[in-house]
Amino acid sequence: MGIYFIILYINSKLNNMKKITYIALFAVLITSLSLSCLEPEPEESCDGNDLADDFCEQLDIDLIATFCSDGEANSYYIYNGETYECDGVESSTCDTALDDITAQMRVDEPECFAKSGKESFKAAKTRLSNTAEKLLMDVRLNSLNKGSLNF
Amino acid sequence: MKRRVKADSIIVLFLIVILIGFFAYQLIKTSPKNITSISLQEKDLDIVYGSDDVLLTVFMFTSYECKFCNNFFSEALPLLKKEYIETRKVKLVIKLVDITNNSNILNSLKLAVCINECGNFEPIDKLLRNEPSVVYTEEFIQLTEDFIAENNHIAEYMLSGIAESYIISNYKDFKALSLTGTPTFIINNRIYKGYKNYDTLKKKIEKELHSVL
Repeated sequence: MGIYFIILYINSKLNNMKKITYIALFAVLITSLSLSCLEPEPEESCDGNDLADDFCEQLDIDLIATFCSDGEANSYYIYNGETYECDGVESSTCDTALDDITAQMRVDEPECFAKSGKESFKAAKTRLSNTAEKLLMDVRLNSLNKGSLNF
Repeated sequence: MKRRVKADSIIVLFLIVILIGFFAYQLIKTSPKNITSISLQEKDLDIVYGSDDVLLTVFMFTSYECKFCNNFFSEALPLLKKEYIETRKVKLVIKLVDITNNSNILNSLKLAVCINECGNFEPIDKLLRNEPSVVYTEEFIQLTEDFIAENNHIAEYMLSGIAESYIISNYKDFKALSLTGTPTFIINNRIYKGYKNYDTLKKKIEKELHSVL
């Protein structure tokens, strides 16, 4: 309604070219205001994961891959300054990213992966960590008692 | 002079059209997609947080291999429980989905839904979220076999095909909705793809709660 009166006012007061110019400026103003009212992009947060714990715990080295997410779907890993896409919507990209990162780690830390060997590298991915062992024991002991998690 | 005015008018109109187009694109980009073809229903083996007498049901497709899903469970779920689930505003219905077609993962999901149905879900949920690769270990495979041997309910669900049919039906729903990744949230028949931190999810829930009130 307000827009209608503004256009009427412009029509009555100004010549054609000025009308068009003012309408254009008005459109720019409205669009800018509307865009500024859209939800702001969420802030990005990052976590560092030391993959050396998984693959070469015999050696005192760091293989830090940092995982960043903006809280929506735009996320990625950073390893050695390189960015590896890991999209929250298309989850297979994360597997590709981790495979690419571990391939690069093999190049960067050959000693670690030489000690591990091809088979043990594969096994490292599926080995039972201390944490997993504890959690597995918890499952064994406490899963068959009806809990109160779901209410 | 008239030509000049006409040319200027065309340029200005062109700019207006571009601005309106850009604005419309931004609106479409930020709007969730509506489900029109299928209606998502709660199933017996779904993992449910919350009671039935709630204002809003949030469905979530999730998998244990998905880092984003685990972020949701560790960061957003505790706050969601406190503010919306315990206050009986929202019910969260979790649908475990196997998008890998891997037998170890399928078996772990079957075991998880069986334990949720007739035991205490928390330990196995914690294990699979924290150590998803455990499903490939001999120890986990042995644990599954032991549970089947020791517990009639788990044996029934695991061996009769009930659990497997449920996991497969989740995958069928997932595909029917043209989804490709987890987590995906469905609220009021609207699809919200990807990880949402608590503040973002809260805004979506508030918006949907307003629309049902």
